[in-house]
Amino acid sequence: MVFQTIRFALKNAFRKKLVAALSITGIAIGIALMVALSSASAGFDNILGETVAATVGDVEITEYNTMITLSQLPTNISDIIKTIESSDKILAVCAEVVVSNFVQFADNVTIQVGMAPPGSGMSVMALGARGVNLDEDALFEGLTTKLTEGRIFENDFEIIIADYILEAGSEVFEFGKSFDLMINYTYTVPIKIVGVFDTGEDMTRVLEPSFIMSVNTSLQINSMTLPFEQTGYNVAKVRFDSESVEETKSYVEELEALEPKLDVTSLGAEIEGMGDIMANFQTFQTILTVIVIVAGGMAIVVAQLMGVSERMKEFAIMKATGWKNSSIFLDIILESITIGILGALVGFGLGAGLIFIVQLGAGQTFVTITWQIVLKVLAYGLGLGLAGGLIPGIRAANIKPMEVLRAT
Amino acid sequence: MVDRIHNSEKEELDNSNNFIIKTYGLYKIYNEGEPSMVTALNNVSFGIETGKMIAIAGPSGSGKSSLLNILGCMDSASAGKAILDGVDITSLSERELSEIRKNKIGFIFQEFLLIPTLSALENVLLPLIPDGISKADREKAMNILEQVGLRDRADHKPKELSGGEKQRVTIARALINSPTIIFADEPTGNLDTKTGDEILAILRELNQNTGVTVVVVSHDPLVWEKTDLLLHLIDGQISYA
Repeated sequence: MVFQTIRFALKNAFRKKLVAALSITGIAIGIALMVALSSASAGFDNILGETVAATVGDVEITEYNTMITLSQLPTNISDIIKTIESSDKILAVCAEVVVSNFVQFADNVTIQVGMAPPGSGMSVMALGARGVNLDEDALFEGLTTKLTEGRIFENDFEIIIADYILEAGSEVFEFGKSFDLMINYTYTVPIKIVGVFDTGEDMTRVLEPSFIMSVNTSLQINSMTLPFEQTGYNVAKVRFDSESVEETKSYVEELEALEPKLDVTSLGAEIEGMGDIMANFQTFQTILTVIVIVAGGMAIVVAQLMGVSERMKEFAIMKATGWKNSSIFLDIILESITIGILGALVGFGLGAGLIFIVQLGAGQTFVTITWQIVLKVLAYGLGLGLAGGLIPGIRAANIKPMEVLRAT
Repeated sequence: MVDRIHNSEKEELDNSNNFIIKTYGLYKIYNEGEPSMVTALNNVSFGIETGKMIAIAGPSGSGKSSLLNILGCMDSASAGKAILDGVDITSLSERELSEIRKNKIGFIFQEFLLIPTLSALENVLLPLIPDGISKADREKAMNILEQVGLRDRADHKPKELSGGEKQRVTIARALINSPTIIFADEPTGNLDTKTGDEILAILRELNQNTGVTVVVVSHDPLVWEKTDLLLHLIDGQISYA
C-alpha cells in the first residue's frame, strides 16, 4: 500500500529539479562537514582509546622536579622501584639515558631528515636519542626487538636508527654508514649505524626515539656535552599489570612515596586528559549539527512550501478524489524525506571523499567512518525530511479543495 | 425544453426511495454575522432521481458551486440536510466525507487538473494510490481508458494530450472507483464545441450504460439540452423562470 505512495512521492520530489538540487546541495554540504568532523572525532577517539589501552599500566619516572635531560636517577633505580608494596604488579622496568643533544651535534645534518637543521630546538625533541639496556628493553618489547635490518649495537658508539629516518632520504643517516658527532664544535666522535628498527606506520611513530644506543655510549656522549659527568639514568619506565588508569594511579602514589623523591607520570592518565580537547571538539560538532539541521530543515521547508503553493490545485483534486488529509500529509513527508535522505547520502559521499583525499595527502589513516556515523547521517536525513516536511505537509493536508478550485 | 427540478416538500422527498440526492431546506451562508455576509443557498429542497443526468445552471453567484461542493462532500452546509445515497452527509466528519468522496463520487472539473508527472493511466489510478494499486485496478483503468477512447494514449503524459483527451482522462479518473454519482463542474468550459459534444456524449453514454447519476454544472444551454433535468438556481434559490 505505502509502496504506491512512496513511488508517487518520489516522482513529485523532483518536479522542480533545480529547487530539489539546491535543497539537496544545501543539506549535502552541511552533512559532508558533519561527516568529516565526526569521522575525525571518531578517528582521534580511536587513537586515544588505543593509546590509553596500550599504555594503561605504563608510568615514567624522572628525578623529582628536574628536567628530563638533567634528571639523574640512581643506577639502582630498578631495584628501588621494586620495593613498593605492589611490586608483584610490576611487569617490567626499563631505565634509559636520554641523549638530549645528539642530533644538534651531528655534523652535516640537513633538513633532508625531515626535521629542523642542527641548532634548532626542534631537532632535540623530534629526533630523540636514547641509551637502553637490551634485556630491560626486551621486557617492554621495545624498539631494540624490532630490527628490520643489520644488527643490534655491540660496541661503543654503535647505534641503530629509526626506519623513518632512512625513509626521509637523509644523506647523513644511512644504514652501514658512519658520521662524525660534533661535540662543542671542536671534537667529534665517530658514530656507526649498524641497524634499523621498525617504528610502524602510525603517524605517532615520529615520537619514537630516532636513535638507540647502549647505556655506556649514551652516558659518554652526555658527559661530553653536559656541564657534568652523567652516571645515572634520566628516566625509568615501569609497566604495571593494571586494568585501568585509576588502578595505575594508585601505583603512581606508591612510587611517589619512595626515597629519593621521584616525579612519576602515568602515560594513560596523561593521554586520557587529552579527552578534554575531544570534548571541546564534540561541542563544536554539536553546534555544527544544530546548524546543519536548522539550515537543512529550512531548505526543505522553503522548497516544499514553494512546491505546495504551486500544487494547491493538485492537492484539491486529490482530496476531491478521496485522498484523506493523512494521505496527503504522508505524500509531502515522503517527498521531504526523499530530499533529506538524498542530501544526507550525497553529503556522506562528499564527506567520505574529503576524508579520503585528506588521508591520501597525509598518507595516514587517522579518521574513521564508523557505522554509527552512517546511521547518524541516515537519521539526520530522515529527521531533516520529517522536520522540513511538517509545515508544508500540514498546509497541503488542510486545504479546502473547493476554495482552491473556486479561486481558479 | 428540459424539465425543471422544483423545490420539493418534505413529504415528497421522504416518500421517495428513488432519489440518490435529497436536500431539506439547505442553507449555505458565508461570513455569517459579518457585514460581508452572503447567503449562497437559501432554503433549497429538492431530489435527484438515481440514474438521471441533470444540469445545474444559474448565473455567477447563484449558488451552484456552493451546492455542488456540499453535494460533493467538499463543504459543509450552514443549515439543512443533504442525503447522498441514503447517507446524511451534513453530519459526517472530514474523514467520513473523504470516504464518501472516494467510494461514491467522481469529480470532473473544467480545468483538467491532471498530475503532470504521471501518465494518463497513472492519473486515472490517482484515487487508488493511498490504498495501493492492484493488477486488477490497472486492468480496470485500462478498460475505462478504452471506454473513453484513450487506451493507446495510456502511457502519455498530460502535456502530450489534447484538451479533449485530458478531459477524457479526468472522466476515466472519476470512474475508477465505480462511483454512484459523477459531479462535472463546467466539463466543456475549456473545450471547443465539437470536443465538448464528444465529452457530453461520453457522459451520457456512461449514464445510460452504467446507470451512474451525472450532475453537470454548466452555463451553456446546449449542455442543458443534453440532460434529463435542469436545476436552475438564482440568488441561492431554485428558479422556475
